[in-house]
Amino acid sequence: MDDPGILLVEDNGDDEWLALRVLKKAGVSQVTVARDGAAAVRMLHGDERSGAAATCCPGVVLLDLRLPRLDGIEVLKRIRGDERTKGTRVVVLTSSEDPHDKAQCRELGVTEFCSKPFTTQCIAELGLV
Amino acid sequence: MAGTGIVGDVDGEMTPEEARRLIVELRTRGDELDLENAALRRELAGERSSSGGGVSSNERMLRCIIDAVSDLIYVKDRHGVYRACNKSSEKFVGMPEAEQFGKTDYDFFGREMAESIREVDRQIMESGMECRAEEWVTYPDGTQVLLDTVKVPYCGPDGEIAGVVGISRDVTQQKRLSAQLAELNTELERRVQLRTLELERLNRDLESFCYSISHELRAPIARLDAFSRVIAECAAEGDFVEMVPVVARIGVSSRRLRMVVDALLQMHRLSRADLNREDVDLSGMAQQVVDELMEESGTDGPTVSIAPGVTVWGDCGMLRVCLRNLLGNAIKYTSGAPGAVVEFGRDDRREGRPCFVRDNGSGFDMTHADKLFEPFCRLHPEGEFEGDGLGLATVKRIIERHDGLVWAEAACGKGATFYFTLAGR
Repeated sequence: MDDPGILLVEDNGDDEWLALRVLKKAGVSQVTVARDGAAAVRMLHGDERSGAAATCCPGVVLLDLRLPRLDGIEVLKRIRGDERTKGTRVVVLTSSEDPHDKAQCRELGVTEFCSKPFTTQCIAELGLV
Repeated sequence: MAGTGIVGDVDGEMTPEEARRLIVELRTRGDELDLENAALRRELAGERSSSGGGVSSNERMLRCIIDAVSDLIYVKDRHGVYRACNKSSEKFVGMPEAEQFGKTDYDFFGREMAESIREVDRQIMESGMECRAEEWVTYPDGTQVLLDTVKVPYCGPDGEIAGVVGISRDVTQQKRLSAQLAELNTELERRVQLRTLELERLNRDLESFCYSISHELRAPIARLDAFSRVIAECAAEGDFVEMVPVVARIGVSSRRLRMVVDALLQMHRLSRADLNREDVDLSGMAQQVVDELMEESGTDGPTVSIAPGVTVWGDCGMLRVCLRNLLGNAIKYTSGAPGAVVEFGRDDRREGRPCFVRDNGSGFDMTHADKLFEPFCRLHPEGEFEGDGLGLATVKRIIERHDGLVWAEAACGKGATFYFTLAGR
């Protein structure tokens, strides 16, 4: 069975570099990166306007909340609202302790949070490998 | 002869001696009666002086009290004819009591009003009950007053109802003041509600701002921490090649942290600083700012067109920060694009004649326009365009301090225009 891999949705270059480094060291090779919310949704669901098909079907989405174009909460809503991805595991990456953000994520069925930057410890705690 | 003899034999003949004695007795008795009569007269006169004379004194006292009352007091007979009134009533109607005497309400008011009054009087006389009511009364000279009137029936000496006594108070001013007070209270309540809503909104904004700051400061600090661990790992593994880009990233992250802190301090200073308004040549200022920005960027940059003669009334220092952020964004988002143009001017056709900064750069999707002026809101990925995330939030704060408005119009790939107005002098 193919490794469905991980979709990392992150707009900050440093955080992306750190996460990729940690995942690579942990042996995760199948990682796709989206640098804004709209790009992530296009990868997961395709683009109706251009007719482009979905390009990514990850086992886990590592999702930053503060994203340009489409913020993380909106991406999460779209993921949960689509038959193809409503059951996909989503881990929310966060730098803030905003209780509203976390409450919204919980309402959308996400209970896994990870403080940024993404570390080896996060991989172990989430059992990603 | 049948008599009422005092003494003697009435049946027999009276002797001369007896007649003389009788005369003397009669005289004596007459004198006594005179004395008794005089005493009775004195007694009667005395009683009169202590009771009969007081009636007229009480009347005078009562009259004095009635005239001293500031309410209008008047008496009408069964036929609605005025029989008496007090001084206040004379003053109010502008007619002495003697002239009012014999007149009816038809002489003072219009027919409809007089009939209405007459009907009320009739009901009072029929029911024998007092009546209290407030009503607007219009006098022939057009004066309108609101009278709070109590009317009671009064009885004549025979115990029958002989008319009505009215006591009216002019409550026009009182009513107007109380209406004004109610209006002011309503307005005050409305303003308190608005202020409360505004404060609640500000509190929410402040809370959201605090979380944004916490995110913007924690993120680079956490990165620095992560990079230091990577360096420690590299050092332990002897991998000095990977260490080099990490050090470079530490430098970038540190500078970004400093930039955010500086931007936050600037925003704080702008929120608190005194506003020193003066006439500002915004066109001249825009040219200076563009020259500075072009020099800093070290590239050719876009073609910049600045409309001359745009002057406003505002704080010179703050407006420079505002223009620097808006023109800086315009230049940033058009960088590298061929045929890039940035314009500054004033749109005289629009309401409020807003100033504008326009570019034909990457633009943005208007669905995100509401978040554009929020602190740390980014419509482009970090790294694509550098910024502290506070530029437009700072612009908004400056414009709000000038009691103006700021808004944006844009489309993806079709550039953006930022408009702002400032309150006039």
